[in-house]
Amino acid sequence: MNLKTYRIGVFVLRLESEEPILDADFFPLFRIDDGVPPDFLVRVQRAKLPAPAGISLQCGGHHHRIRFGGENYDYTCFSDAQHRAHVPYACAVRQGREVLLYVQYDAPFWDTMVFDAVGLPDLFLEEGAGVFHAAFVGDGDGGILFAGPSGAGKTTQATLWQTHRSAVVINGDRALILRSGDGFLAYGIPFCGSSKSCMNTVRPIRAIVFPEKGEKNAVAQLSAIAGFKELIGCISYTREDPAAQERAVLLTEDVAAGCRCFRLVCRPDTGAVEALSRALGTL
Amino acid sequence: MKLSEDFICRKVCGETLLMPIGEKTKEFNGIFTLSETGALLIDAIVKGENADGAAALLAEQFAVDIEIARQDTLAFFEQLQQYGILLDDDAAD
Repeated sequence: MNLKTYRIGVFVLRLESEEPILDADFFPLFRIDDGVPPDFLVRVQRAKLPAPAGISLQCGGHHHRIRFGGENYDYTCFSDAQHRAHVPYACAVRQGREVLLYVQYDAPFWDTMVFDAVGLPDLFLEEGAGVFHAAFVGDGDGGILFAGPSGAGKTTQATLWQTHRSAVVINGDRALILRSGDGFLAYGIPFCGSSKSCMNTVRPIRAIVFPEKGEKNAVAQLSAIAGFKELIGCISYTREDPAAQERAVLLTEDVAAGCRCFRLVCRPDTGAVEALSRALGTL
Repeated sequence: MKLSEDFICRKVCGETLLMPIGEKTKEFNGIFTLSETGALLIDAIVKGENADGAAALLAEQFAVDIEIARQDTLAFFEQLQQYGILLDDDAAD
């Protein structure tokens, strides 16, 4: 039996498989000793995907959930451009803290594929932690999250902080946020989109910033409700799952109320870094 | 009439919000902040009131004339229907 154990944030996850699971991307940075007891166990097996009788496996996107017989079947699909269809290649079935992952695919297993199919954001949400779409920057001993929709300027601002403030981009695409005492911590996670910026480290959140391209640089602190409205679009969860939705709303409300949130209307220049530094009191 | 299952109403940070959920979030990228009267009317819908019942509640809670309350209620419901938030009882979600 092949074992691989990872710590992502505060959670220990173990993969168990008859076949080896190859290292991919940044996952090796998150490996820990296999002797550490896991919070979640993922049993991976190459097998025909379960297909509840009478229910079409036709997927509408990358992830697709079917609820059948009181169980959730979470399918992950690849995009078949030729046939304009999403074809399922993995199916995760949860039983408490164990996940049985069926994989039907003519290729070796690798850890990115496995964790993508497991649905980590929902697992973490059940434990009070959320995966947010944001460029996560470490500035000294604090963390700044640049959040918002694609094209808003998250990566640009993160890169500017790296260049002009000697900050580090801990993750160019995502951060795992969870409460710690009176504040919130952001953790690097192994998924970082196409950014190639990924570190396994943690920072207390100093601010969550929503960049918006503009003609000048201006910073305004947002109310908790305004922060919530921006942030709720950035948290990952299974949209078809009302319980996950409820958890996402509660956590996002907590984060928006507990962290300083800012709107940064900005140009892609050092003036944006200075304006935000001034607002954060770190210039 | 009924609230579409594609939307949820939640009190967040002291305000009442109407948010899309599930697949709806892909086509509807926005959140409504409801006024006190809007929140009351949504609550009335969730509790199964029709327009007249909701208007009566509005008139009672906010001490306004019942005819004005009815007009405001109908105007609000019409807006909700335009966004697909409010559906007829027999409409499929």
